[in-house]
Amino acid sequence: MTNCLKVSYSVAGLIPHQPPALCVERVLSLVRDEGNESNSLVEAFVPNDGPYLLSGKITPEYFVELLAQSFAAVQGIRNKINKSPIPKGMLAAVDNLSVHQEITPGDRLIISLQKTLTFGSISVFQGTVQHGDCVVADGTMKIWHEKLGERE
Amino acid sequence: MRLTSFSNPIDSWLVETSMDSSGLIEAVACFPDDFFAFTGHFPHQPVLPGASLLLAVRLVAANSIGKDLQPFYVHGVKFKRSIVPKQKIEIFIKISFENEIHKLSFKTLSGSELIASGYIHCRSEI
Repeated sequence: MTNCLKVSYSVAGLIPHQPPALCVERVLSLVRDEGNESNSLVEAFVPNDGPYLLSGKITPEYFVELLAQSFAAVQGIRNKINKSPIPKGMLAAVDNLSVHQEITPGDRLIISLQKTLTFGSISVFQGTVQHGDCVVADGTMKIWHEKLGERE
Repeated sequence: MRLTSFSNPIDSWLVETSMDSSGLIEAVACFPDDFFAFTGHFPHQPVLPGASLLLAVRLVAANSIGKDLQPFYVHGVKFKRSIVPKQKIEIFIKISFENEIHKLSFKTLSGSELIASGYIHCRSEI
């Protein structure tokens, strides 16, 4: 039995970020049971403006913010389902983040997330960013939450 | 209204920078109220995104050695505290060059408090 919930939920209101800082568009699917191997999926479109555009090109640092916001969006929708408030959060660490190829404004990206560990207020996840069939970036992130939503 | 951003001249947010004989780069940065990266992050509570701090570190390094550095690998980065508008931060960067890769080891401080630290690997564009 699949524990992956297909949704198409705009991130507006799920996370505190606003344009032009907002990098993600919508949550596409959500892993209901965090022990499941399925990944939560988030959609984004590479912006043609914003703080990560330099000399007309997207800076690789964009992927750090993209992954962090993707995780926050997935947590945001969990909080909404659980009727929990949006907790304060902060990117705590980035590790083994590799950028494999450039992206251009307008590209549609799919961010795949798998939470690997939760301890106290810290969540660790592995994120992969794809453009079509190509993995353009991947890495491990650690997020600190003021308060986590309840487990389903 | 045009906001200050990384696209502006670097001295719009970089207060001073120096490099000693060992190659250690020391810089002081201060992001103004109207810095683009604060817009929407977050409304009524501006905080510099961690990704923007990494970009600033990379640009300081690139400016110091006169090369266009393109990051492709980031590891061991820890963010301990937030940066708010007009907060002065000190950036320390050591660069080693091996196998065509510039390896940046950095830490940023505000007073005596550690803001962030980590490693960024870059290739240089000609």
